[in-house]
Amino acid sequence: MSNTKKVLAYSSLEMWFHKHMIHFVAFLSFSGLPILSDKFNFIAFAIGYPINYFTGDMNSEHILASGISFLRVIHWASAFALTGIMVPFILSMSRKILTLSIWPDRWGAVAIVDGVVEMKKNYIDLKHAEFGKMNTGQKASAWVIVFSMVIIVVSGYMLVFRSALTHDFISIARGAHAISYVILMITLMIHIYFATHPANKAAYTAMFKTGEMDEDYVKEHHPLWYRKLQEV
Amino acid sequence: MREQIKCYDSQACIRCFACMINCSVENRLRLQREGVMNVEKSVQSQMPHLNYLSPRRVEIGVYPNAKQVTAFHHCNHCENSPCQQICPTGAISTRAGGEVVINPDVCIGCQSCGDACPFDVPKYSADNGKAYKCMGCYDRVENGLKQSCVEACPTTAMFSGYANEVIDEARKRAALYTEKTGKKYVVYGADKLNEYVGKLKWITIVEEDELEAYQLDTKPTRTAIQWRDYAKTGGGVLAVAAIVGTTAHFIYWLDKRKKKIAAGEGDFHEQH
Amino acid sequence: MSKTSRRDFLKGTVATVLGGKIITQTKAEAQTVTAADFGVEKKVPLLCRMCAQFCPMLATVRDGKIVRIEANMGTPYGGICGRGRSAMGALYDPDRIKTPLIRVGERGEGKFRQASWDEVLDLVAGKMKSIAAEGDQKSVAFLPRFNSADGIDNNFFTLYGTPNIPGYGDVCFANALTIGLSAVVGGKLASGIPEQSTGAISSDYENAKFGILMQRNPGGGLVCHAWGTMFGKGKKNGLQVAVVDPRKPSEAGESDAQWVPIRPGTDSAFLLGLMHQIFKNRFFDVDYLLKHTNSDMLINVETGLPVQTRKIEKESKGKKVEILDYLVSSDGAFVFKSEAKNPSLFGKFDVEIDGAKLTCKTALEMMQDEVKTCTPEWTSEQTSIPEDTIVKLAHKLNATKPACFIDRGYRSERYASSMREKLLVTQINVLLGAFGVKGGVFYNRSIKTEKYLSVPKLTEMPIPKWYLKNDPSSAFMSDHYYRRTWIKTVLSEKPYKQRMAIFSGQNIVGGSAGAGEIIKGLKKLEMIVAISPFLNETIMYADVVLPDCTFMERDEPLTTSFKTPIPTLAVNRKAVEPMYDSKDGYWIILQLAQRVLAPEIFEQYFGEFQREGIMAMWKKQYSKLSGINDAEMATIPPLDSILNGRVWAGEKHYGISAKGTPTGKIELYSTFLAQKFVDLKALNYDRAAYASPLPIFNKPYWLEKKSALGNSEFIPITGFHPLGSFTGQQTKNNTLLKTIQNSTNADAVFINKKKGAALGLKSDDIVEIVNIEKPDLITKARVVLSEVIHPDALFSYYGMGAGYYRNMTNGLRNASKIGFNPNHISNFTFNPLTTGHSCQDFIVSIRKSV
Repeated sequence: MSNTKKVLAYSSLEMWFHKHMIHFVAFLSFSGLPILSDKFNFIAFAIGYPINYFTGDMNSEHILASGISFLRVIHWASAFALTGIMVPFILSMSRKILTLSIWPDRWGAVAIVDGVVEMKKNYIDLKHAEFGKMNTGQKASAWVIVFSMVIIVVSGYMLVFRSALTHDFISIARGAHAISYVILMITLMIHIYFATHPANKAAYTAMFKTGEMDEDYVKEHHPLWYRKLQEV
Repeated sequence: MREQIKCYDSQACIRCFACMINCSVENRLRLQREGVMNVEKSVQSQMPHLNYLSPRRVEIGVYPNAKQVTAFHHCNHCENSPCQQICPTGAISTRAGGEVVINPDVCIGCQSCGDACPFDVPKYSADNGKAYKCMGCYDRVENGLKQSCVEACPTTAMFSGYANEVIDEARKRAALYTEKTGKKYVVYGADKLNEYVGKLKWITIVEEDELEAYQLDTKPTRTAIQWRDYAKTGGGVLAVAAIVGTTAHFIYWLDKRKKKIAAGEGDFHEQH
Repeated sequence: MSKTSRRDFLKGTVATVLGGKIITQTKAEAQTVTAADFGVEKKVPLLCRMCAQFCPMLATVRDGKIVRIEANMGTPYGGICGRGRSAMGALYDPDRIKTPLIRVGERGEGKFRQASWDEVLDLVAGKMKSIAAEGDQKSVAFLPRFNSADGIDNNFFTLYGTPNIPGYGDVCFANALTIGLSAVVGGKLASGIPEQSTGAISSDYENAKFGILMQRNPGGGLVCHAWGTMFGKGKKNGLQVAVVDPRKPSEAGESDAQWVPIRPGTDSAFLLGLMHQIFKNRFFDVDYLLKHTNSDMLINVETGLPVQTRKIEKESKGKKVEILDYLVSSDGAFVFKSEAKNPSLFGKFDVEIDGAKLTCKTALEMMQDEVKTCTPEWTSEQTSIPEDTIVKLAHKLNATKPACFIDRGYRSERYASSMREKLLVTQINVLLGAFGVKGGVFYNRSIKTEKYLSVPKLTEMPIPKWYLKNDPSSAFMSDHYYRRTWIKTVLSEKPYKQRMAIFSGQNIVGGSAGAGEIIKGLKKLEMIVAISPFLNETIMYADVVLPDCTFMERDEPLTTSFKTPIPTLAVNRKAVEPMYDSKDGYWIILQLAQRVLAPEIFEQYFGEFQREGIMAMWKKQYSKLSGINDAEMATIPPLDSILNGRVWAGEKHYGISAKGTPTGKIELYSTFLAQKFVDLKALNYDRAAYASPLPIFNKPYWLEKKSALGNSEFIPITGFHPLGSFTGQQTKNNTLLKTIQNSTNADAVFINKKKGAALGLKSDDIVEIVNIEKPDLITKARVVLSEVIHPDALFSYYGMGAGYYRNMTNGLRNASKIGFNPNHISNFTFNPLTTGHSCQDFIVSIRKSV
């Protein structure tokens, strides 16, 4: 295996960004969930309990409030950090925007159906499928994630600067923030499933460890991408 | 402790603002009682967030066929209190008497209540970092006294009591005004308005044609917040579906792979 | 960011879940609340002085501080307004005058130094004594309004030797409102002029079907107890009102009240239009007029006087009274009213009296003739009210009579024509048969207490007597309310010089029209003393300032002067100790008296009060109560309980009667005016017509100058903000009122939207306002464009703006630094005959401030 030719899948900037984004999104998610729904209050209690233990105020309402207060700080800090690292990433992606692998190769309803059929071949029939670097599902989820992140970031900043905006605007921001989060999280759940799926181990290794994939593997499992690479 | 409701009669009201001033005074009394401020300081600091009641004036029509309407802005103590639903710290609760109350010790000033309220009620004080709104003078009510605004009203335009008695009286007055003026008077808030707020525990006797002028929304809602609620529910359902779906796929995939290997077709998803 | 300390909730109840979705609930903890927080606490009775109506209140006092104010509900009309509720904001106002002050800068600068009580009392007493040594006591004037030594202060100054105690009423009701009623129903004579006070009658808001409000706002204006509460009851009973006003006040009614916009100052034209309709459609009450009025009196058409009268005796309330019997036409013959079986209300006759042939008409015939020209068309042209509105209003009055009224109005001295307006109001109520009946207007009743102190009358002539004798234009002035006429004297030195003034709670500069001339007058005085707890414009010109304490910090005499329909007896008690170095008003006056009067005089009149305090006064007052019937007398509670907060209230009576007219009848055609009219014509007074008993039209001064206003010209009208009162600091600087005042534009001026837009203005612009006759005095104010105001009017809430003389706002942290006070820049004019101030009767011009 060590002799096999390698193909560059992800640059070090993409890997760095992706890893940090995961961390920040996790923090944002954990800190935001108790604010979104009381079913996740346990998170806030977990944070609030040790805080209030030291302040000596063991009133259960106050523990929850302390926890949420602290989580708000984490939420804002993570949000600023995330948008911070987005800057170099976006600049870098913009430079090669025409060659990004998340663009569809073919457009139209027929193309989508074909793409879904290929995915079925791979993941249901466990047969050979004509994939590019990314399959239809990956491309679709990439766009969903981009759009929902844009909305969540914009609405998030609206909420940070809420005193400059009207109540109606802020209510819309709240709604958009929550809705885009739900869409994002569901998409991520599925994305994480596939990312950690044993069938996709090579991609996982590329994204998190080496940035590369074996050429033979690419030829077998991502034939459209292989063909593109040959053309270059 | 039975539920009490309050009623504002826009016809009997003489717009003297005694209710609004008395509310502000009572709040300063509360600060004094809690040892936060002494008497002098509490009446010398403006503290506008302690004015739970405020007038909102609007002019209707064009001179000479014009009139002014003073809308009475106050918390409605909704049956389904959206502020209470959204408050992440549980700072907002409904007391046995029906008053929807913000506990300032627990409030962290996130202003979610203001985002959810369709009537634009909770006032955020940047000085204190907390949200404030009418708390129905539950401390007075639970000690057998009338609410501060009710006690202040010199014409019984503000009155309160058990819900059935208050609604009875309100309907009686509305019928009388309808008869005497020839215009239809209704009791806003006594019947359920919608799912978002339910019924109101502060109802208003008002001319039906002027509901809008008095800023009494017949379909009060914060659409974006309603959608947020749907997203929460929907999100929960979808999350469960995603977990179930992915687990099912994984089990299926394991089985399919095993079968394929057993059938001698090789390990398609070879583990390197 | 300051956080409030932890606040725990009350113990006792547990938070429960109600409705909606199930969410995590947290329990609320409680703080122990004791009974002392509610109900069982020191409650001290007060009589509110946030305006001047003495509404009964109860103050909750804890640890020597007033923490809450409530209405004293011990009377059927109990209730207080928003101003009363904020009284502790005035009590604890950090900008109160804290110590005696002596001026150091120029008069008007408002620069003072602190002084001790001994120093200021010696200064004032010294000046008074030196003037007395010259025998010139009459040059000292005592001017009370919100005075704090009632029953003692007037007497002190009388004993001192000055007859000049100019009251404030000529900037309010004296004498237009007074005579507008008393000319018709009579009243106690003061220098020959019948008087009826502002609280003489009430409109029966509770029981009326329909009423017309003019120059009166029963909601936002004053007198919550009882007119505000009565009005509220009326509204609950479905009372309908039409508000004839250049501005629509919200408090009189919003949706339910019909607004009739009227050109400012033309109210009498509107009333004449109504009267025209009443005669034309025969809406008057024939039986009422025959039975109770002198409508059938035969009047000499040449002189306007009754053709023949004779004195007869009549039984009235167990007493024999002398009344004037008069000639009427009955069944074709001329007989005296007392013997007439069938007197005619209408008719023109030729009659021979003492050999002379003369033509006469009945009074009603004369009145009907007089208003023939006041057609709806004429009325509409004068007032800008549409013709059919006038007709419909008259019909509505007729449809609802006698449960209808034209409200008497309040204040009143606003235009040259004010007295005429008030006279017409009374006449119309009488014509409709609404006067004295349920649902109309009716007399208030009051109880009288025994006078505590009487001092010998002075022979020295007080200033008003000189005017009454020598100046036809002052023929109807009040002999005790004359502060602006007093200024006339200060300026002209006729009848004699004025050298010293002591103001007790009186703000002559801020509250009277023509502040410029008033200040000129004040500057002529040798010493100006002001007694007041609060800053006002007049204080800025004082040489010595003595801070008396507020009503909440002192005991006062038993009070009976309320505007309630029922006799009411209550008292204001001291709730808290005087703050800072302020002193009880009685102490101040007694200190002066001790220094100024001879010891034996002081002992004779004030010795008892000094030793026993106000209890001596209470006992004396309570010892003889009168003015009520036996049944009521039996319900009078012990003095103790009144002193502890019990309010006594008696019965409401309707009844159609006059109150001392020469004929004993309700004089629809006033014989008092008829005679005065003749007298004034004889003196060649050019405005003698203002005394006519007939319904004639008199223009306001401004309409005499201009028949129409220019694009940027307005008439400045005012009305009370529901949370504002007079010109005083108590509501202007009150933190508790500030937030709501701000959200209702309390310090702005309001003009018609279309007119304002044509001037290039929009709401919240800053404008400059000038009296076109005093263009150098510029006042800045924020303008609000409104649809509910007549294009000719510029409205401002009374006393809320800083005005032109705004020095005093430098010392007031909450008071607005801009805003309009018409009094500051108005003309120093006097209304004909009554001498009241024409406070709205001038023209202002505005422009956008650059």
